[in-house]
Amino acid sequence: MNTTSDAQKQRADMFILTNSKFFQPHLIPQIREKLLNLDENKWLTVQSLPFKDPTTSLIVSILAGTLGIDRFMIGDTGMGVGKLLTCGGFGIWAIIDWFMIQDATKEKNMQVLMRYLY
Amino acid sequence: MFSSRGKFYRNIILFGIGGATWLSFSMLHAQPGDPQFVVCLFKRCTGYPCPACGSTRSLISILDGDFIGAFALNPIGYILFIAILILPIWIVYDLVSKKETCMISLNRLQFQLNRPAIAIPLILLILANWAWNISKGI
Repeated sequence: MNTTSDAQKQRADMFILTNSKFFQPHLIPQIREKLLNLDENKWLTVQSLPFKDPTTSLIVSILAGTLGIDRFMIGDTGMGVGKLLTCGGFGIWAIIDWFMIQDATKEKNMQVLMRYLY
Repeated sequence: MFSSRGKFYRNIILFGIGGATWLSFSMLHAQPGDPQFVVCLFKRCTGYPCPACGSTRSLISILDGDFIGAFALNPIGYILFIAILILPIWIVYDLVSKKETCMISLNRLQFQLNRPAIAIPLILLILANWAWNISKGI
């Protein structure tokens, strides 16, 4: 009993160590809590989930934010279309997104993870 | 997917106010195509128009009643015109009746747009429009 819980802990901490940059910092304790109680057979799926790198989306946002590519990339198709059809939201939204896109990517990653944790 | 109701309506209202401000400013002050008033970052940086460049002028043409001229400038103006007609009424209705029909419908539309059968033709249309924009030198 004790050994399995230790292994579980180690695995959860390993996951946090390697994936913490994909999530918002204030959600990390909550994720760890959930991982500790995670089903054995769900682990493989959780470990191979396709998380998006916030840094990549920032680069894309700076280079092609006016065309909404950054929003398309993280899966916000609706907002992507909105940006594409208005020259990046009259040029202003594109600039705002340089500062918002990392957080938005982390939020998307959290949504992906939530689907498997709950 | 738009996650929370409050965030969705706040963002779309801010976006709408921004759009209305820009539209009224360009109707009152800017000469059509005046390079001083180009807000498109893509055009500013590269010198080439983006797929949506010219849609403000197109929208102004529609409001002036010049429908063919508007299409020649940029067909995207028509999409924006429909959005301007529908969205404000829809959002006010939602806020007054405390419903979220607009958010649900846009989420559904987004789901449809993600389907390859719809997405690929639309991407090709946008690319064609972009090529047309560049060749027109908008």
